[in-house]
Amino acid sequence: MVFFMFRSYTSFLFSVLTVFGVFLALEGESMFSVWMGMEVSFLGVLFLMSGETEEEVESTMKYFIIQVISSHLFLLSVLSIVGGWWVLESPYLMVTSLLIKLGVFPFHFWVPSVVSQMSYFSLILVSAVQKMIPIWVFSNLNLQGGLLWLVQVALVLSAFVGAVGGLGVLHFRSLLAYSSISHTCFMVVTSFHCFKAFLIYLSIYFFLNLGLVSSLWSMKIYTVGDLQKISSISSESVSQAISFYGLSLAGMPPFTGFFLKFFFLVLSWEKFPLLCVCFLVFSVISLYYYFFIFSALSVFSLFGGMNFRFKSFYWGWIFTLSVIFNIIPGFLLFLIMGIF
Amino acid sequence: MVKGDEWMRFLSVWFFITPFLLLSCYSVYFSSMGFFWGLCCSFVLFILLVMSSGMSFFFLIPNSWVMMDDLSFLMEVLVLLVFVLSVACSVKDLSFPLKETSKGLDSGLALISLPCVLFFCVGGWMPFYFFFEFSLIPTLWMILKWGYQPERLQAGMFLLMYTAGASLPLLMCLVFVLLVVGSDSFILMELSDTGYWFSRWLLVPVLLAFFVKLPIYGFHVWLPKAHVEAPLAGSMVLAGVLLKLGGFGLIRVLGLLKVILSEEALLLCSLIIWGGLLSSLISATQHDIKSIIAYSSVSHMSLVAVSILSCYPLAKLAGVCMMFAHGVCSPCMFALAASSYDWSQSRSISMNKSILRLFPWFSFYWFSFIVANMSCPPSLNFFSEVVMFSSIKSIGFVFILPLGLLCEFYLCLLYFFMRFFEPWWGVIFFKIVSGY
Repeated sequence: MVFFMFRSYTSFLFSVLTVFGVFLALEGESMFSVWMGMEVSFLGVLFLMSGETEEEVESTMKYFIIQVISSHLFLLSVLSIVGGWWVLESPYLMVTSLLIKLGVFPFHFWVPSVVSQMSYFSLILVSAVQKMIPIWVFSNLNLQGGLLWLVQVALVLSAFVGAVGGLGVLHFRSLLAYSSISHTCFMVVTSFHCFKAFLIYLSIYFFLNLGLVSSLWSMKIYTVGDLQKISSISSESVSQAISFYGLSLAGMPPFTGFFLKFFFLVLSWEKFPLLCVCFLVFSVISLYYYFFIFSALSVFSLFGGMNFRFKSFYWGWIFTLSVIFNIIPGFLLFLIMGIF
Repeated sequence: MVKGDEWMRFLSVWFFITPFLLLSCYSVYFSSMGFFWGLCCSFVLFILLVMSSGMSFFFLIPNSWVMMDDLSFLMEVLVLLVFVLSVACSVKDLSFPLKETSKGLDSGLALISLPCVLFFCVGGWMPFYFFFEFSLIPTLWMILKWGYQPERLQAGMFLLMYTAGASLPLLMCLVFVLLVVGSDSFILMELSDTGYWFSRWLLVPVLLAFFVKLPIYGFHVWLPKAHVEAPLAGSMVLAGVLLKLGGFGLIRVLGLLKVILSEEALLLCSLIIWGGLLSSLISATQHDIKSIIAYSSVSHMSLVAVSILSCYPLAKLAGVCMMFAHGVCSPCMFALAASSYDWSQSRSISMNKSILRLFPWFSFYWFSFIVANMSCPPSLNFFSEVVMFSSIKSIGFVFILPLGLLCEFYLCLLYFFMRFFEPWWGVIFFKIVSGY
């Protein structure tokens, strides 16, 4: 990953630009600085996204159009607040623009089609880094009344879409897109509580997603069909190891991902009980496709696809990363939770 | 909390048991069975085990994570017994793995036993839930990796979806309890009256999770599938320990939430008894030995659930006895089924006829474990069923009829297994082929 960053000066520049935009938005004082940070970070991501292949360029184009529309709506709402026009309507406009930017339910259509053609690196950027500024705005909007109700309905429906859409999908990137749709809902609800809680959620989710994606990327697995190319002993045991990420993202208990779910529940049970119930029901549905990731990646070791004389246990960096990310923090966090 | 005197008793009992455990671990295939049959039958040993912990006064809280009482102590003993038994009985899988990938069965077993050991001694709601679910993933892994047929993927999915889907509402309720009480410690709930604060609706998702884990008829679909597809060691641990997680959780939850016998609980009781009756009927119609044992364990577990829900202390004791006896007995039956499979290459009842002619000593073990499972007098099952029936009778005399029928169908089960001992032409063929 670091190697990729420093491969050329331009990509280094644009990754710095991405991070700089986020800081600009989070530390700025006016709404315009939020908008400007959003745009600067988006610019950086745009350059990092556009890779060599035609598919990547196409998905970058789609992403560009959608994001430009949403950020201009955002700008319009900011301007209308500043200028004093349509003051009653402008929060609706702002929420709509943020929903488009995040890919929440009525505007979720761009997410799978964009993400399924991107490179894995830009998948991480789109599903984690690009969420920060819109959710920062969400957590500071202090939504109330009908608007909050509207956003809640959108989030519930979006969680439903994220759970049901992933069923039967064979491409890992579109699966991860649906998983990112459903995790975005969790993040938004967490950010209603406070922004720091959202940052904790996002950082854990970021590391889990980063581990899964970087392992898939380094093994060049894009669809289920690519699993047939796994031939060497080491890559087989590595794929077995990275299959844990699937259940971890699903939030099964021994893994770290369960902490996310627990954290979400503890924070938002008192304010949004109905939302918690809906999200948990949908996470049972999404467990089906996470189980698919798990079983598809570990299928060689499960069914004994190959015969070889001896198998040395290969502790590659991917395997170590998987164990460190998935198993150890979950256990430790739970022991700490046991004190309270 | 615990006196030195009781520690001495505790140590002395373990001093008795440990040589047997070691013996059964290192002995040949079947000689350990005798010990476990003795364990099934010995009411005395059970009493010893319970008394060694100072019956209902044993309460060990070394730190904020661990709380042990006599029940959890007994369950720890059960986990270790089943672990040793399943290692001893899967000697074949351990020494001669079929494929290169089917090595390491012992590590899988240890991975299942570890969360179970930790589950029975935790002291708070959150670790309780954590280990309750933790035991699921190694079981899934065990079924998927060491199972025999390709259908095991479906069975694993059933296992995961049923138990995880039912336990997420449990998580929600436990988080609710945690937020209301302000602490997840068991001992705080035991000492305070916080258990009365909650509405009875809270029990619906909580009971659902444990009913799926037990399983009660209606939520039982995953169990026979998982048993049929699991390897020997996996189904032994599944029947011996993992079903007991549900019963143990039920006892803990009903005790801590201060549940009393209400009309809803009576309704649940009658449904569960009816389910137990139906599942014992279904077990009589199966032809796969493993699914017969699985369905019979469903009906046993429904008895356990009824006796725990009936809220009598004596019935609770009987339920614990039943869990212990079933936890020792049914793994042995699975082990016997696996060794029947070894000679006949089939788990079908009709292909396994006439064991008596070929292996009289082996069929003696079959007979003795079936008899222990259907609660013939020397066994612990008998004791627990008598106490259980008499206490269930006192909540409603109507329950006697289905319970009696349930016993009848255990007899029917025995009849089906008796067909093992019938002669069959295959024997003659087998004799010709093998030159006996």
